[in-house]
Amino acid sequence: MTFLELNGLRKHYHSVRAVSEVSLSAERGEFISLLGPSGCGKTTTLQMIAGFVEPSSGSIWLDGQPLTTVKPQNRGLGVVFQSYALFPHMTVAENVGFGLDMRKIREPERGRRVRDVLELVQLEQHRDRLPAQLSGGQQQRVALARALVIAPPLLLLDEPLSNLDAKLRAEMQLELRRIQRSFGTTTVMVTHDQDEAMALSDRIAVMDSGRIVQLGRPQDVYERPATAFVASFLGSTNLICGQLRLSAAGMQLVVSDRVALPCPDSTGRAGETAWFSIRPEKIRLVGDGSGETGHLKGKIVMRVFCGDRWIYELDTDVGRLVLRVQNQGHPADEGRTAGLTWNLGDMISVEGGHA
Amino acid sequence: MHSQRTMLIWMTLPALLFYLALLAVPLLSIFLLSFETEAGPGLDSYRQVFSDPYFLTIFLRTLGLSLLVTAIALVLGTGEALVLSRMSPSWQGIFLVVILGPLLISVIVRTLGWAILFGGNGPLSVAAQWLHLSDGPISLMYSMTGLIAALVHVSVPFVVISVWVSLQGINPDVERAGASLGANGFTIFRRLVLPRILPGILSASLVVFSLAATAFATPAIIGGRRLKVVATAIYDEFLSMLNWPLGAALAVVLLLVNVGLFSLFNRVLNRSRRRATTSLSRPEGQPT
Repeated sequence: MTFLELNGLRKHYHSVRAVSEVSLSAERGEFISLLGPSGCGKTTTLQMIAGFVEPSSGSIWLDGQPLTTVKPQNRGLGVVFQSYALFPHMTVAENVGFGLDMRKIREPERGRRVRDVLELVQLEQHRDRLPAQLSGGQQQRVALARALVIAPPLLLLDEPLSNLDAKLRAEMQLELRRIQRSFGTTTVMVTHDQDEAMALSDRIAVMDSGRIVQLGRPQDVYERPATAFVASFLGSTNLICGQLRLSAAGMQLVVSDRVALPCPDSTGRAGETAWFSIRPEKIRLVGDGSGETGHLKGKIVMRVFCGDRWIYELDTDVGRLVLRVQNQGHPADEGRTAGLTWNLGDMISVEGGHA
Repeated sequence: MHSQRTMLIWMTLPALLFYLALLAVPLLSIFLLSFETEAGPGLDSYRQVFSDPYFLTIFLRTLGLSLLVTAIALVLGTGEALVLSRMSPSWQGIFLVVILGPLLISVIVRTLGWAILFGGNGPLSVAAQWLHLSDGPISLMYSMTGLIAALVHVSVPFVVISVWVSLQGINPDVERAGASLGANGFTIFRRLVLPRILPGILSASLVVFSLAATAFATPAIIGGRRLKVVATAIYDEFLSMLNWPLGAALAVVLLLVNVGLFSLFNRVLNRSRRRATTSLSRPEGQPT
């Protein structure tokens, strides 16, 4: 059953179109990420759900009730801001209790709920501190506790982890997922961080230029990107463009006079221009000794060590390709020529584009 | 180390001498003057200040006037600052200049302007009659209303600036956070905005109160002889009655009352500031 429904949401400021058209439905308890680069309209979409921005057209439904014209203070949603927006003159406990005060919830229930949620975010011992006395991660958890204590039907997160350092962010991702699961709150998160989106979400809506370009489970969107933009925004990828040709051996992608790559059948009709995405970790280097030549030959122009893996950049007849190879102790040298191979199934036909 | 310190002391000497010559010496001589009587030093002048109901009235009038001016200026100025903070940056610039305008004009010119406006033949009176709000000419000259209006006019900029500065320190998301938690506009102001701008309001009230309590030119022109305040009374004692010791005693009492209120206020101010300035370091976000 659909719990949250966004129906043809649009927002333009004068002539600037911030959100061209967003439609989305979320199930109860689902965690959905709006992922996209700066200016793709993801934050505006979130602000329309929160009620801070009035949509130019379209409607918002929550649990069967229209929400579009309801004032923010009457929506009862939990919002976590990128800047946390904690109340600096109130202690942690006062910050968290604010939403309960607004709901006229009195002691002892007020105290119990503040205590419970502070325990959940592991800040019970800091309840009497002021926000300025907390670390960034702790402030983030106060913001989360403050939003959750009112038991909102919907939790909105605006880049919640972007102000934390990398290590803390990884910890908070797990923490956020745990807390969201334990509350079972339907959640919409805005982020430009693809790792965050993949780690946390049940489904990801990749946005570009004010619309959703692909919506699906993280692994589906990653493995089957619909467009070149999605492929390169969600993870890194190699994009190859060419013309389809039907040969005796099957469908081929003609990239130049010299190169024709085998490609999966049924990706299009012969004569058409086609774009393919191949993820860096799906390409393998094949050695001289094995007798295998691979689909392409390339010269290693650069290699980068990343601990658990090596990243190679190769010059090939189809342009620069990037490879990610598990570190097994025998890296290939820079300057060497190597064969490149991949499974045909890992060549994903994508809608072409600007990427 | 030692020589550096000695040098620092020497370097403060010019400023110190300057203050000594221009503030401490006159203050001290006024103080000494206030004890002068025909029969050597005594408390005659003070006795007169505290026993004559005439002076009591003047002191109470000054106090009441200053409190009223402060209260009205705070309400107007805080409101103006709140409206200003919601304007687009280009309009903010224009309106800041408009608000600060009164401070750019000489006090005499400004007050004489008020006198023209307030007079029986002034535009205010003409307009009131034309609108049939009044049968005859009305004059706000030599009235408490006129005096308060004129003093509020010059006080508001101080409040606007002070509150404006403390409003700048508020993360705009805070108001949205309050709304998302169910607070209406009034509650957001009272519980989330007001506590943060309170130090600004309090320090503005200190400035406004002391300016109003010691104002001379405006009460002299608009209040005239009918509505004497302490400052004009001192002037009269010195220059009309030629009773210098009495004028000096009045000045000393005014100063002491002011200093007393000042330090009391300062204590309240510090207490509220301690709470409000432990503010969040605001992370810079890139909203999309």
